Amino acid sequence: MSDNAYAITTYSLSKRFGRHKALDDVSARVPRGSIYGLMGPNGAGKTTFVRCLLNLINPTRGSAAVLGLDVVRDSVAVRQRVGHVAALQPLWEWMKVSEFADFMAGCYPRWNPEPVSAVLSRVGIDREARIQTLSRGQRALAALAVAIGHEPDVLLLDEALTGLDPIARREVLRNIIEAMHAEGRTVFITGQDIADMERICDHVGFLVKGRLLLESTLDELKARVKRIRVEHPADASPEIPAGALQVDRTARETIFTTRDFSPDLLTSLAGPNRRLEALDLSLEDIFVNLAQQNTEAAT
Amino acid sequence: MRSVFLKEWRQGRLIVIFGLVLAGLIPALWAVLSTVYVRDFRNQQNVDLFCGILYYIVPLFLAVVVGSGIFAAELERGTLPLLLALPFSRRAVWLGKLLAGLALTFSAIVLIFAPAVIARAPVLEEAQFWLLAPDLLLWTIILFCISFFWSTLCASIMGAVLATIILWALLAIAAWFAIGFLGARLLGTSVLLDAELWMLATCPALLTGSYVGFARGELLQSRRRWILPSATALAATLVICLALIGAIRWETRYDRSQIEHISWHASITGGGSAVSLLALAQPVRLKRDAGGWLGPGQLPTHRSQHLVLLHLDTREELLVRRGTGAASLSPDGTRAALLVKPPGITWGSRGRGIRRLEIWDLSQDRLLYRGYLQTTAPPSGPPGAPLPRRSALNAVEWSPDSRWLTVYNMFGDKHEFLVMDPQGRDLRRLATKSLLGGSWGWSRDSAVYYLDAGLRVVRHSPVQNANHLVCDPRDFPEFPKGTAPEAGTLTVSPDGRFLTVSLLVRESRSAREYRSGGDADGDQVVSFVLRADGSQPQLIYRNLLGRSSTISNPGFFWSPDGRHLYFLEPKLRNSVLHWSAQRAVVGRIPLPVSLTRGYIRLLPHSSGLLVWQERRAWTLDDREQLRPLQRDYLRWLDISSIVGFDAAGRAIVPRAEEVGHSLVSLDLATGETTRIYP
Repeated sequence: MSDNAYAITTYSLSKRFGRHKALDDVSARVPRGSIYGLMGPNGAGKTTFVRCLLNLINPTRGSAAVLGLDVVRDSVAVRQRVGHVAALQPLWEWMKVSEFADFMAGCYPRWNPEPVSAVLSRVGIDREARIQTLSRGQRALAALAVAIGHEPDVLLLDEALTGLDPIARREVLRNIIEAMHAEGRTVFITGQDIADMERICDHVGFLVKGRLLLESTLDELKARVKRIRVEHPADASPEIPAGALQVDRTARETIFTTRDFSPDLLTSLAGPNRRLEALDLSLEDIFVNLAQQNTEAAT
Repeated sequence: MRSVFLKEWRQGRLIVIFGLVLAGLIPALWAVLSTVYVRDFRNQQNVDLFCGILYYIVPLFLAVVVGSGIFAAELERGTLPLLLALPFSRRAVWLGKLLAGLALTFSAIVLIFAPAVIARAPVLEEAQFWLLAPDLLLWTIILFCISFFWSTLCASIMGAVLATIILWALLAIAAWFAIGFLGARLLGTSVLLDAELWMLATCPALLTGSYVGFARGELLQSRRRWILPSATALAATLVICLALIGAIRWETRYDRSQIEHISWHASITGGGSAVSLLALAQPVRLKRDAGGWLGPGQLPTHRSQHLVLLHLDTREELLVRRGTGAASLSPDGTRAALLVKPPGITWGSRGRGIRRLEIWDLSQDRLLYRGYLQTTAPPSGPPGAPLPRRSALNAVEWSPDSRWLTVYNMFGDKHEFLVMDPQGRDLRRLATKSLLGGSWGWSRDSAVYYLDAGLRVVRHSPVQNANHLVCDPRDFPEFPKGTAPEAGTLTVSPDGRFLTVSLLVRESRSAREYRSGGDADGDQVVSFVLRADGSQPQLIYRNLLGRSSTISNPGFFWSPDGRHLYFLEPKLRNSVLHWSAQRAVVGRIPLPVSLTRGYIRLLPHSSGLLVWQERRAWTLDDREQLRPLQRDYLRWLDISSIVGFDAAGRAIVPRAEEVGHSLVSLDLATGETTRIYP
């Protein structure tokens, strides 16, 4: 795919805070029109990644482009076409919801109040209510609703679903994210709720300790990462391929996870008195496997 | 930027409302306090001062609060990332917030002062508000810039406020250092650098530092973000200060008056004066300070800020807008000599008391002379050319023919007595000493009698430019033995026939040597009256000091015809001493009270004397008859405030009214008053 096919591209993006590397050579590509989930444990660098995309902070090294625009040089143009909601984003509490929407409307060259009003009414938020009177979840919903008013081409949700109850979460997923996806816009989500990610994302990336371990479509990822179980005689354990994750060996059974599953792998493991089985992994299992491998490698 | 500006404006509108509340609150406070103290002038002054300080401090307080909250409030509430994620450049956000902060601050200030502007309060006509305004503006900008700078770096409003106070204090100390050390020692000049100017010069650097910190995009990393902007601010401050010092040195060399900016002292007094704005709350116009009314032969000072020439037909004319010290009207009424206090450079005690001499031709409204007096040689060049030495002129007096002036000048511990013409072309230094006192007087033929450095009586004729030694008091037969004069005063009778010489004499080795063989009489004050040619000296008063270190020279009052001399016994103040030229003896008239808080005053066109103390008064005629005076006006009259007497002999005197003071003419015999002004 050409660069135009990607809504977000980063090249060796690095950010260092003193001695701490928050991002380390991250080269990511988010296809246009996709719902991309960036997962990672706490402190992995997800929020730093988003802040670099918005040029809230400058990268130490590397570059990033959103919709083909350099995030540093063309930061204003980027922010005009990007919607952004952060986790538990504090708002100006002295404003009413309508004032907040009006203020945001004045900040963008184009503004469509209909989707904002639609979302607000659907989730039951009074436009004339002061923000300080809203609950934490309602504030997050209000921020989400207003973030789509300028009809962004890319919506960055930095753990924006945190704090939402299941009903509100479903409302956001169905009425905001899926609606944007249907219109061919790109949604970039970071978070740790892998079940939600698995349900809505078509692309995922794993960020651990500032490094992007893996990036792929969800289907491809599930097809590539499999759990292999081999039953064998006691004296004939199979040779485990390089790069295998989470290897468990017993006298008559060997189980491991592979990142590069293919039918050839099963052929190479086949032998007399052996029984092979390729097991599908959930996204959560894949995430845990990858995270553990990275932790073990680091120690 | 517009959206950011409007959002900031809406967010900070409480500040504006606060200003609006104060606009009503301070006048109300003033009105209440004034009602309590309406009859007591001194307390009224305190009320004015107190409310004036409020007027001055509140805008500065608002500037700090608004400036500190600009970014620190966003950081404190966590809304800064939301703001920065909006499609604006950092420059636009920074500028929008800066402009909004300034707009909020100055809107609040305008609201505080607006009522008086709309009501055209008298203080505006007198331009006192505009005296205050530039200074207030400067300090508001300075404090706003400091707090704005810290707001970019601090994560809490209180932190920014405290940092602002600390930095302000450091800058003030640094300004003092620049004045005291750099100015006086490194640059070899004693010019007092204006601290305000110095501090104002740091504002661009502070704003640059603030912008650098904001534009770097590292706002969310609080540990490191202050390093670069602070270093930028420091470097820029140093560069600006060096440039400023260089500029001032340059200016000092060529035109000192250009760098004399609004002074701290003027600000404080101006702040007090601004209280006159509170006229809005009162139905009666606030009038001028009674302490500074005009008098025939003398022009007034008005709170050391303005000089207004008031004609007795109530026509008034603003002569000098600000900074006026003492003043003197020439006897022919055509010219006025003013000791103008230049605005600015009064940081610290070294700058106080500096006066510039201005001489005005009132008939043509033309400035004849302006400048500092040259003390070593006559001034050259055009009027107003700056001269290297600062003077603290404190007295100026016209000759009877209005062609010459005497000037008493001080610089450091040196005092000098000069005569000059109104154009400043012909200036003569007649005497120089560490302490001279008011030791001169004009005779009717426009010759000046003065005590020279050796305290001898000298007559100087300005026209002939000649000095003539009249006498040496040490040769007087009644001069105390074994003593030497240390300081003295001299008066000339209105008819020019007699002089009084009053001397402080102290026992000394040189005195004993001077009058060998005599016994020392000890330290004392002696007063003589003598003829203008130095003959027939007569001792009229002697006050042995003993162990007392208090020196009290009597204040002499000559009757208009020059035949009677009165003075209050200075030590006990319980009697009036009267010397008559006809009898040449001194009579003592005991007073019914000791005038501890009273005065004596000559009545016009007669040899009578008015003795007054706290609502009681007596008249004293030349036959030494003391008669009590019982008039209603004694309830409000303070004779020390009598400006003078008009042609009909009526006293011109300020009178306290419900608010402020008016000028009235008072018939002392009948008690009838007529308002002159307003």
